Amino acid sequence: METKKQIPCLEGWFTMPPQEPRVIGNRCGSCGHYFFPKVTNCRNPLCKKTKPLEKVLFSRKGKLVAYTVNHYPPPPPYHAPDPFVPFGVVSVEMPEGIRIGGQVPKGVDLNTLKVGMEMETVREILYEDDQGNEVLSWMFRPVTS
Amino acid sequence: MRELAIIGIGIHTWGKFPEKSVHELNLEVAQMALKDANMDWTDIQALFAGQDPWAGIQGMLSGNVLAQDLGMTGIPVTNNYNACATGGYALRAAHLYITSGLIDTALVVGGSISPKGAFGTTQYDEFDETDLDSQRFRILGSANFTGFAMAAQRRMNQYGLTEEDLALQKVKASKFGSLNPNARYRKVYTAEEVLNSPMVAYPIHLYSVCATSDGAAAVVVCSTDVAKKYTTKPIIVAGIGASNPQYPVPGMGGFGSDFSEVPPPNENDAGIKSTRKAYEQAGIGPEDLDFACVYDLTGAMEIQWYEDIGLCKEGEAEKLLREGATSLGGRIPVCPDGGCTSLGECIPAQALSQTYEVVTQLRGDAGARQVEGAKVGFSVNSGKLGNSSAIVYKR
Repeated sequence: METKKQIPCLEGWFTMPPQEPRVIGNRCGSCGHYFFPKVTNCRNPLCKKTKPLEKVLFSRKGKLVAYTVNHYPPPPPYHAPDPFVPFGVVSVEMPEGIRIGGQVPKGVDLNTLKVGMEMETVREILYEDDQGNEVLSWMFRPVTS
Repeated sequence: MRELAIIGIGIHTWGKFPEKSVHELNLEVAQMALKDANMDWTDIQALFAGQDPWAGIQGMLSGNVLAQDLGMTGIPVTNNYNACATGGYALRAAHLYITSGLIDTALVVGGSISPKGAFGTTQYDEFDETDLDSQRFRILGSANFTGFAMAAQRRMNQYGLTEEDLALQKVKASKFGSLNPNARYRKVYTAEEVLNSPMVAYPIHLYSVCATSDGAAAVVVCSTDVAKKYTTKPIIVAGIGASNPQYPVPGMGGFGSDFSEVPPPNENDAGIKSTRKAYEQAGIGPEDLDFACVYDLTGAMEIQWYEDIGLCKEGEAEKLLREGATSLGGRIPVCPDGGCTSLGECIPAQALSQTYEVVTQLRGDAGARQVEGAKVGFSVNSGKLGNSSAIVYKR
């Protein structure tokens, strides 16, 4: 069977190897603040910005702070499947001290989502593009141990 | 410093008007506001206009187009876009021009012909990776109300907000809206109808989401001295706050939301910063307000504003709603025009539509939805990238 080509939805926003994916952001070399997604310059107004921003991989796991389930097909540029399937969207607080948004992958029972639960970063297919490529994104799923 | 008086107001009914252009809407409301002010266009010394992001270059220059349509007097025109706070920023600019003594009179306008359905991105920002807010549409599938829904869900978890509360807000707003001839939706809804409407983004049902709409609003402003020549009922702008999120920002930063999806109210939130500045400038507190117009893009958002602007303590917004304090005849009516819930969302016009309602109320001209004896009014909003404005008005 032919394997479909996998491409990131956005280059450089998350690591591509299938094992233990991480979202990619910045840490300010001067004041130490973390940013996701990557920023052009540190956004701390009191930071002297004497050292450049560093590329960092965020922790794989964080805590769920809020969630919703989208029951409608989002407008373009989102590639909504037809027929549409509801999907979860979550805000996850990372140990680095900032919150990161992400979808919940298909197959997770959305009724099990609870504020405070541990979530882990995964890499999933967001949609298939017109050329038949699988377009990937980072997502968050409850840690099952 | 001189004070600013609002002496003329104009509004176009919110709705869908495919047969009209934004420029026609702007012209109608400008003429209405000038007539209401007993003023001629030739008396206006500067024009401030909100830009329509959906109408190309002409939309970016909508103030210039309007100035041409009203008659080419050659006055300076300032076009601005600050998302949902566009009208507030335009009014603030006019406020500074006039209170500084630079000019005496100005016209402030905002209008838009909105796209159908949920707001998305334009062709220009779809692939702009530095436009973090646009990328959330593409990757999270997160239209605006997805973020609002997350905040509502968190409030359910933290303070006991219920789906019934969200329905109650719609019922309350629709009663006000039924009494407002400029509202898009005039029907009075029942809680059952709201709860039976399709789920859009849990816990928000379709009838709790405001609809993207076409509309326009305008105000004529001048110094209080000049106002005496035109009216015996000037409405005074007692304070204007305009803010943006402050580092470290609440919420998910530029990606996903520009407000905090987690209460309690965060002092770095732009809406809260604007509110405090407006109160401070006016020398009042929330206890002095007779009513308030807040930015209710969803019912959950309205309920959060109760705490953000200080109408009640943290965690008590649901109680305020349930006991009817914010309803018609209540202690502190909120969105007496029916809010975005009844009007819809029309980005560059929204803040000025709030101003239209506050002025109508303070003049005592609101008819069946009149807040009895209203002397002090307030309007506040916030939008994309955290743009926010808040205004205190006195009669």
